[in-house]
Amino acid sequence: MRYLIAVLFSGIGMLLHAQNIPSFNTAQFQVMGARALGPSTMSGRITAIEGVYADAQLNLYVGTAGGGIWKSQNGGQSFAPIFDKYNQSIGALAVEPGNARVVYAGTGESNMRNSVSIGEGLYKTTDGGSNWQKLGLDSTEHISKIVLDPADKKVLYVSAPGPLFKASKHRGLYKSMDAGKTWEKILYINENTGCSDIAIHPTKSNIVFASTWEFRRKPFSFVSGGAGSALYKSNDGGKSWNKITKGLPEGNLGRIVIAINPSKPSQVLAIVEAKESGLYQSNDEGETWTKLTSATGLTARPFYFSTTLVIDPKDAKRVYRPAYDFNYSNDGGSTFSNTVIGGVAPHADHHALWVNPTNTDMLFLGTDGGVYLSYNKGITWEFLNNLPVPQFYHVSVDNQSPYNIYGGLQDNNNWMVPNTAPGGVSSTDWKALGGGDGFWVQPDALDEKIVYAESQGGEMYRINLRTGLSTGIKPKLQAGEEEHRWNWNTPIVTAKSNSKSATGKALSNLYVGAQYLFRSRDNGKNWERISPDLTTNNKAIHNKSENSESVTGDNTSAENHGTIFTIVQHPQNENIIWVGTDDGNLMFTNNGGKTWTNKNAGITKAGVPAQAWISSIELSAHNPNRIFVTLDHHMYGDNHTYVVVTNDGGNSFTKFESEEFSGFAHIIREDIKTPSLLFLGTESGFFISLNAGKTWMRSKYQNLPWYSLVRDIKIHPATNDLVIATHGRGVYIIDNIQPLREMVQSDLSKPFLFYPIQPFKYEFGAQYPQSAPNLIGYAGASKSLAPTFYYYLKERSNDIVKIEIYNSENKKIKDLNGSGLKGLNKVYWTLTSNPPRVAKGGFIAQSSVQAAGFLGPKVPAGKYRVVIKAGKDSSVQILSVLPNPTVGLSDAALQKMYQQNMRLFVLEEQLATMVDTIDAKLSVWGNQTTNDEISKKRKSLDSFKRELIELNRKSIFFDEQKFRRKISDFYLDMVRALEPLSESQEKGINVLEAEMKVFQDRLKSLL
Amino acid sequence: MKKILLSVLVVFAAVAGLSAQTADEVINKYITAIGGADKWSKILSLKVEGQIEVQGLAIPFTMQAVHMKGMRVDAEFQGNKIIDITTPTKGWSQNPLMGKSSLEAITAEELKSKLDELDVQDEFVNYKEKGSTVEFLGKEEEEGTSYNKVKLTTKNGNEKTYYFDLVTNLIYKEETTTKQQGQEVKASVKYLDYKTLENGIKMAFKSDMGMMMMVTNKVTINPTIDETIFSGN
Repeated sequence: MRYLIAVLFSGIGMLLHAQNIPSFNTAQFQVMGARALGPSTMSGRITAIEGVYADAQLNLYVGTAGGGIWKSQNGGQSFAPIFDKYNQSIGALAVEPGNARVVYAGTGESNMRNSVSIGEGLYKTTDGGSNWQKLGLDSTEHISKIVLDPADKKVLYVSAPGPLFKASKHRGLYKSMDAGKTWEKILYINENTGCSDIAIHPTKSNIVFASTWEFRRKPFSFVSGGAGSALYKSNDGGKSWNKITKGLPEGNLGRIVIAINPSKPSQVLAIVEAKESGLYQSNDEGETWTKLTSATGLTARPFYFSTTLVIDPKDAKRVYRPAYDFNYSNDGGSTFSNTVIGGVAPHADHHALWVNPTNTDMLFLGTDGGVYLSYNKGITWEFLNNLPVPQFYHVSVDNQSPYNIYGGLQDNNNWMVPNTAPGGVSSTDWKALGGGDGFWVQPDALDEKIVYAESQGGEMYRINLRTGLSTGIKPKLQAGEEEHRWNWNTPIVTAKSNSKSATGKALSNLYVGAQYLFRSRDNGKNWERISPDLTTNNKAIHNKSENSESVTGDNTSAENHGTIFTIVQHPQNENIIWVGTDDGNLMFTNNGGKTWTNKNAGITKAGVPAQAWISSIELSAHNPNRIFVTLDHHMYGDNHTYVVVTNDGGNSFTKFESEEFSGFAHIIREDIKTPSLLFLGTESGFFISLNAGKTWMRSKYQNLPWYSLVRDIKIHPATNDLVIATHGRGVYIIDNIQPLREMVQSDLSKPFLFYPIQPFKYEFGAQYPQSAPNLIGYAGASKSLAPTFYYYLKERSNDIVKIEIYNSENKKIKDLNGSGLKGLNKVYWTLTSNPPRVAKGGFIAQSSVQAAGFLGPKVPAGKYRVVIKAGKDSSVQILSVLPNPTVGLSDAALQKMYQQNMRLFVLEEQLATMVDTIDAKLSVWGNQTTNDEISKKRKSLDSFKRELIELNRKSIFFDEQKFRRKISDFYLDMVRALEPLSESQEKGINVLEAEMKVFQDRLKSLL
Repeated sequence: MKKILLSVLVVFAAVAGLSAQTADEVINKYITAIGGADKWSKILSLKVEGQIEVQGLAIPFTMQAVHMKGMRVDAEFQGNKIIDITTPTKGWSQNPLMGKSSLEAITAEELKSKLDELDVQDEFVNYKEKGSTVEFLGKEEEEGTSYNKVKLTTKNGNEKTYYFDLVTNLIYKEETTTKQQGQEVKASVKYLDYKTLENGIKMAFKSDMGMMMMVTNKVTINPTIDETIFSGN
């Protein structure tokens, strides 16, 4: 095996020195950190909310479907992530009563939809989230609830529905008596039945209710309910259990959610999924039950909503059922309303609700689109626009400047946003492009004002960004075709065409796939079917929801199966197309679809199960016979990371293996310039290989959570930016990966390397228009526009790294401190020289005088020598700063701007010298108080000084203006200028220089 | 472990027994590395001279401290004097750059977050007697290198997590959590350029605070300090 890999890569050449590989990890290029664009605009699925007061501040812990845990210390006005080193899918949270800093977190949400992610156990923090310990339950995959015994904080219960896609013993109700150190499974039915909910009596804590749930998903079906589902009660803290049936529906049950009335604990409510689901009430501590209502708003989609049923802590009659929408009752649950009056309507699909026990008017609601806050028990809501946890599926980019990013979100439409914006990429920069669930969104390959997007099940449409109008374009069934099968996440792919229309017009290709591949060359108006059924067409694995054994049905196209899932056209040759299906076929044509070959055999032979979904296909830009494929087998209960590569056009494949890997694979991307550089995204991490897949590193230092759900990766061809789409933390951009390429190709056994500096063309980042500050929400950083120095240190520096910049006259113009990180280091130069020496004296806070002492003039275009000193090592590179006449920054303009700025710089320093001279003299004279003559001179000199600098200013609200302020105001104008002064404005400098001359002459006479 | 679960349905948690003993091992090695408790215990006053470096600018400062009695920092920028005074019961600050043009008393909360600084002997030297508690957080990766992580909670209630270098046993990084108006605020600093002084103790001569670097030029041990400089007048 090793030999095979060695042979395989021998042709690529060893780019990394072998001795460096073992110690290498992504910290060595942590400076290649990503900009996290979010957004918070539509946030993402919230799975758990817990609130608690600490130091009179309302602390909130918010668990998300794929974005970890977020903490607020101010009632939700701002949040920070606190779980970035661990699994990102959160099922349940619990705070220890009386201690806001002790929190339990169960990973793996239990809202069991097709796209649900997988957890890896239970964690605990005792310091409010700074540090976490793993407590076990690693293989449960999904945890729905954590409940602490109100009488003993060391006793806790955890309900684990367990794995969704396979039989498993790792499910049931777990109990710990020692605050999580050891666990006992106290309720277990069978390998197909887990525990979905727990409720504990608030005063008699030996009374515990638990609901068991039998359920199973396959790629083509979902079953909720079975003989294993039931409601159980224990009177002895879980030692023994009684199955509760009196008054509950007969026959197989599904998912059950339980709530004990906090202010009247003999009363218990439960929503029971059954042939006729309903809300049931018990008034005898759960022994016997009667139905209150079967309202569909309460009972629909229990697999998705039966995690939450809440009764007001003080008002026994006020019941909340967050589900598809927000239902509330004032009569204990007999009748419900879902009316929202004023404010905003909360996003649909609710999974978490926290009622503030000290002010029960205040509700925090977790939805598929973020957190909402109500101050009136759920009648009116406001959206918390500060949680960037959206769940992207796919991402694409265009060629505009700045380029735009397009992507589709789980339950949250399709979106576009510029990759950078003045003041940062804010909530308001994101523009919706329609859809329900959003998936693939791409601009046309020729006309980027035409964008294709879709919602689930291939409901695709074309948007004309010029007119803002949208039209449906889904291919319609033609005679002789079988019913189309569209994947929930149907691929829509645009590509360049080599063909011309009859009139000689350039064409672009648009591909979409059902079980057939369709191509359009007229923006989706007409479709040509260019393949037969490319799937296995195995009827046994097609979705037959009408035959479902589920207690209640659910058919939202999520179980459509036997479909095309991946389409790739060769960028230069439209005849070459690769297609992957969700049932394992890897289909290839080299004649534009006339004939197709299945290349699945080679993949199977490499050790990948035959039915694994082809999640992505990447054609190498460097070798026509090299193709990378990722495969996803998790819907058969196998979460292994499958990534393969062929070097012979698909006849044989080799599997990439790494101990670092975890999570089923979604996407692989090869660098467009450096063949050894590969990027891999899985359900549980972003991985980088610097040696063509021989070894892999988990990305821990690129600013992404360590176990990010990475769904898509793109490399922008012009900017070399790496764009990463995550399913829970939005979009990340690692700007310009060129330094990483250079690092990969350099000799890293050397102690210190200073890489050649990329020439910089003078440019200023746009300043306006900016978003209104109150509407920004979460803002992602804008792109930095400045020359950048990259250097490599084999070991962490134990001292400051010094950077000196010299101009063409070999004069040192700037000093900078650099970082001393092990590996790659990055330092920006803002193209300014050192600031002037400013005249001392007086109160200068927040004045132009203070700023002048910090800010240096912008340098002109030219060559600059950059010296980096790291310990004993020192190295030099030349930076070319180029003019940019197209934006008005010609060589001459930049030179003029610099000279004008320097005239003011000189004035600042002349004045500083003058004041120093005066101070020295005053100090000398100050000691000769007996001499009248001197005393008189001292007085004159002192009064002269008061003409020069502001000595009466005592606060920032007192705009005293003396000569120093005049110079500094002008100097600051010049430092901030983006173009030279006009002829008339420049005359203003003449005036100051003339004044300076007068002052200098006057000083001579005063000394 | 999985087998146990299958057979008796009991899971033994993966929490390793992280005992205080382990924290003490790390701390003892550290104290040895910085010169030993004996030498540090003899330090009763300290004067440090240096500069703060920001974007090529250097702001000179002098820090003077008498163990557990008072600490004062004086700095100057563009002729503006920056003063910071901490005593066990009161603190003052003057920073014209931040709009505080004269010496103003600081809030009790601000004072609490600074009280630990009055300890001129290292915080880990005789930490138990000083009323602090420690917790070993295990080995953790930081910037790609493994460090021993120890959390120190001082009697003033301030929480600090330290990263100890596995080779030199010295502290590389400190993360502090302080409370301001009920909100926990985090900050971190990296310690560089450890040097041995004439009395045999070792100290970091550079502290990297991200945007700012504190550079020490001169350290005087047990200088005579007139305690009236801590009076806030």
